[in-house]
Formats: sequence, structure tokens, C-alpha cells
Amino acid sequence: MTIPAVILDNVVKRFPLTKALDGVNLAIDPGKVVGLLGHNGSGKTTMLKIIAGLRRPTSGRVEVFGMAPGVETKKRVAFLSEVNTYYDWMTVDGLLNFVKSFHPDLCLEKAAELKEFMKLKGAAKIGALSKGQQARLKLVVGLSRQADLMLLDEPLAGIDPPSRAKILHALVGELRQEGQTVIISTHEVKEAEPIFDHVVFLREGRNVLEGDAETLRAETGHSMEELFGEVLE
Amino acid sequence: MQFEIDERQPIYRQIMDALIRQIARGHWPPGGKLPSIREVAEGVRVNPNTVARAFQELERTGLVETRRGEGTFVTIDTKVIKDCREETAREVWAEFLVKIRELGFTNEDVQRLAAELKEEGKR
Repeated sequence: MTIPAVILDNVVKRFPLTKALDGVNLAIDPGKVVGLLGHNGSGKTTMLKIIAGLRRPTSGRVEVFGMAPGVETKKRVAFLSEVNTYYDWMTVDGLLNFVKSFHPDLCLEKAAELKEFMKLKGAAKIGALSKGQQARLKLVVGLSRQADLMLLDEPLAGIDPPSRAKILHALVGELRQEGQTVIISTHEVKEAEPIFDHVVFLREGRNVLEGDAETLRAETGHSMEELFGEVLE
Repeated sequence: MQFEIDERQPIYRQIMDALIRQIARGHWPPGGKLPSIREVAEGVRVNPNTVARAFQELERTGLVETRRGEGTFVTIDTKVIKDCREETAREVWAEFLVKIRELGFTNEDVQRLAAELKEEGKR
């Protein structure tokens, strides 16, 4: 039996004024491309941060490759935050070397390939990059890591619409390492629709619908985009 | 391979059906090599996992076989291909009958229409 990449068992996360996650149950098989779908404030980011080991749940059980999130799982998980956290004064290459110093699994050859794909120059100053370029840079940094589990929080935010589909397809195709599990949070389902194996619809901290995308299509006769509208509006 | 996918139906099924049609009409000959999973995924713009599933299902029909490290090949058993072609034709025919009956056509009407169309084709 294969060990699931992620297990969430009745996971609750309370903040002082809100409940970000309200009893989420989930099991994700390794090698799947998962769409975490929900509107802003539905709990997507909190869920990804808990899987990444950056936040602890208030209650419930979390397992990543069979282990509780911690030092060991962090070596195998890459989390790409939606918020930009890089220093403006660094260059693209400077940042990659900086990240490599604490994530030794970052592969500089892969980074070179990604920079080319994303049309970013190594000598460019981060502060001088456009919003779209910064979003691309984030993907370069995250995807250069040889992580078994890739968590992408709204990776398309800031990227111009014509490039989105192309980047998404590369993400699950040529840029994905063999057997890698990918969880992508987004509220823009249309472009991402054909790349998901599994979808999780999140509303007010609960996964209101979840399953294999193809099975959901066969059972409902709806696209994921239509289900998003039905389940979450 | 390129075609518009219908996101309301299982995508692996559509890829599988498209490959079956191509094999049935000899686009991929008996014993011929199919494009790789990666190539199909890029052409149809879907996740390679979805294409892998289509290939697996296709293998179950006996129409293709996957050889480790070499790729996926159309069967050399022409009877399997012929049977599949017949079966697909029957499905197409059944779909046609459903649509034509919705127009109130009886079997006699269909025969008359077929004869008329044949005559027109000669001219």
C-alpha cells in the first residue's frame, strides 16, 4: 500500500476572531495534481500552510508522507506563498544562491532551465521586476527544488492571462519531476480545469465537495468550473 | 493529436475514444507505435496522468500493448482492430438512430433517405 502524500483528519484551525478551517478531512495519493478551489477567505492558504508545517492546527491530525509536519517533512515539501517575501536588492541569481543555502535540494541547472522558460535574466534586480515577473520568479524558485510535494498558493496571481495556461501546463508537464505531488490553490478554475487529477472545493473552512476530477465529470456531467459555481456560490 | 476537449465529460475517455477512432481508420497501423504520453499531453493540453489513464484503459481493450521502456504499440492482431472498428461503428449508428428518431423518422424513412442520398451521390 502506498503512503498518502497528505492526510488531514478532522483538522480545525481557529484564529482569535475566526475559524479558518472547520473540520477538514482529506487524503491525497502521491503523484496527483490537486486543485484546491475556493474563494478568498475560504481557508486555502491556511490549509496549505498547515500541510507545509508553517502553522499548527488547533485540533485534528495532519500527516505528510506518513509523518507529522516537521523538520523531516519540510525537506520534502516546497511551499510557494502568494505573498512576495523576497528582498528587493537581490538579483535573481543572488536569490537562487541564497535559497540554495538553506534548501540544498534546490537544483541550479533546473533553475537555469526555468529562468529561460519564464524569460527571466539572472542579473536582474528583484526590485526592478514587474509584478508578473515577480510571480514568475516565485515559480522559478519553488520549482527548482526537488521537492516531493509542491504547494502552490495562487500561483497564477499577477501573471498575465495569455501566459497562464502555458505556465500551468508546463507546471504539470515538462517542469514537473517524476512522481511529484502538486497542490495548487486557485479561484480561477477555467484555465486550470484540464490539469487537475483531484479537486477539493473549500467553503468557509470545510471541503464541501472533493474527489477525482474525472469521476466528478462522469457523475455530474459538469466541468470543474461549473461545479465551482454550483457548490461555492 | 489535437482536439477540443469537453470539460463536462471525463477527459481520459475522450482521449481514449479519439485514439480508438484513429486506430480503427488505420492512422496508427497494426504494430505501429503510438505517440508518447508526454506528446499526447502536450497536444491535447492536459495533465500527463490523464493520458496515462487513457492508455491504461486502452490496453485493457487489447487494442494496444505497452512495452517497458519502448512505448505503446498498436496490436498486430488485425481481428481485434476489425472488431473494435465494427463495435465503434455500431455505437455511431445507434447514436444516429436516436437523433433521427427524434425527428420522427421510422426505419422505412431511414431506408428511403439512404437510397435517396445514394442516388444523389451518383449524380
